[in-house]
Amino acid sequence: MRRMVVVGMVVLLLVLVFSLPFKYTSAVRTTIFRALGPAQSVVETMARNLGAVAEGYGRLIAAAERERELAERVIELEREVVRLREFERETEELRSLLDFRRQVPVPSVAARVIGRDVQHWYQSIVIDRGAAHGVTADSPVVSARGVVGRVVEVSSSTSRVLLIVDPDSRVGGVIQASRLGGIVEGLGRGGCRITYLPRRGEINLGEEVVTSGLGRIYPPGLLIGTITSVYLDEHGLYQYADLEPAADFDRLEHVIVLAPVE
Amino acid sequence: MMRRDYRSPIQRFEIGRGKRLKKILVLTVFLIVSALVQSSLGAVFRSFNFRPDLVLLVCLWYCLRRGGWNGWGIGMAGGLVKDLFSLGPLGLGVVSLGGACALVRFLSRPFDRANPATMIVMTAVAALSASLFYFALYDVFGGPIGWSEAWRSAIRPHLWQTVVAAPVWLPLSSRVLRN
Repeated sequence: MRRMVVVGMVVLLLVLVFSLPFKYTSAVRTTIFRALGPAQSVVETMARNLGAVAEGYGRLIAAAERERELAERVIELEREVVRLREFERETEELRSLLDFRRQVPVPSVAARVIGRDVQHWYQSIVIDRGAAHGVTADSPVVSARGVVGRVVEVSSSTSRVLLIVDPDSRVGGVIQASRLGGIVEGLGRGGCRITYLPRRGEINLGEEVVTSGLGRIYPPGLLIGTITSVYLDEHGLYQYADLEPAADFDRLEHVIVLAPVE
Repeated sequence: MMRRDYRSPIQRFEIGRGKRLKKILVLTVFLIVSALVQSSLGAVFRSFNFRPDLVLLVCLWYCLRRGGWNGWGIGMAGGLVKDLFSLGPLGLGVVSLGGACALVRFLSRPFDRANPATMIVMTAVAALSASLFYFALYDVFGGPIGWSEAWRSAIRPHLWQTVVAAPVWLPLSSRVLRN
């Protein structure tokens, strides 16, 4: 009963308000509007800022995701670049080996370096070509730059090559310009030297030393290295010259095995 | 009065022949694999000429943790494998690595052999002594060598590269050879 009275009074009040002339209702509305205007502005500003923050956060999340994707892509592309550079370098090396192979008029087999001597003192490499590919003991081995060494052990699919820088290696060599002949000996990792050069022969730094062909292992005319220093032996009977080997033994990857000299 | 002896009887744990053969087989295969990896590392790390003595590390782990034969036997087996994978005269590696392992076994007696620090120090001792024994023998039987050149081109790289590889290859040896 009491609730009915309240509802009736509210309805009556509303009827009274609605029946008031417009100027009175307008004044009330204007007053309320004026009173609440600043508050609404504040609320709107807050809502706008909150919206901006939410939107910024969303963008930040998306940007972080995108950044992660881009970083992965960059790593992938860097890997690709490294791989392509490696291909380019290998192609270049193989091309120069092929050119060299065309210049040398003897049968040859291209091989890849797959191992090195387990002892630091000995300078030998293992290549992936053996008797099954026609490699025999004493076959000369060269790179596109110059003489590498000779085959000393052969299995069916691999071979061991004694490098010319090994202390046990001996190669008949000749200075290209002056035609002075000697024996090229290995000095370990330091390089090699040509010994027993005539005392009175004129030797200039930078001259190239090539194989003489006298040892019956290497064909004549293959580049061994360049002279870096010249000195007399302790008895003054012969001249010696240190050589900078033409082949880069620290970076050997591919070599050519030539058929032994007949 | 009756005297009682509280000493327990000596117990002998004999390893069966099959198990012993299996151990020898695993050790031999692991030594050969180590030599192959050692050789291949030289072809892979061309610029650094990185060839740590993995065979020596296997022998070192075995003679420190397993004992037996006073270190000689395993060292000689490892030396033989190294000689077979090298151009050097056959036998120098056998004697030098055998001697190095015996020396390490003797020097490590006062220390805790399982301690990683002991193992690293003994790696350095073994690498240095193996090289010195090798070149001393080479000097006598193979011909005179320049010791400064040997130090620069062989002994020093052998020493540091083997010590660097020890934290990787010794735990691997432990895992492979433990049982």
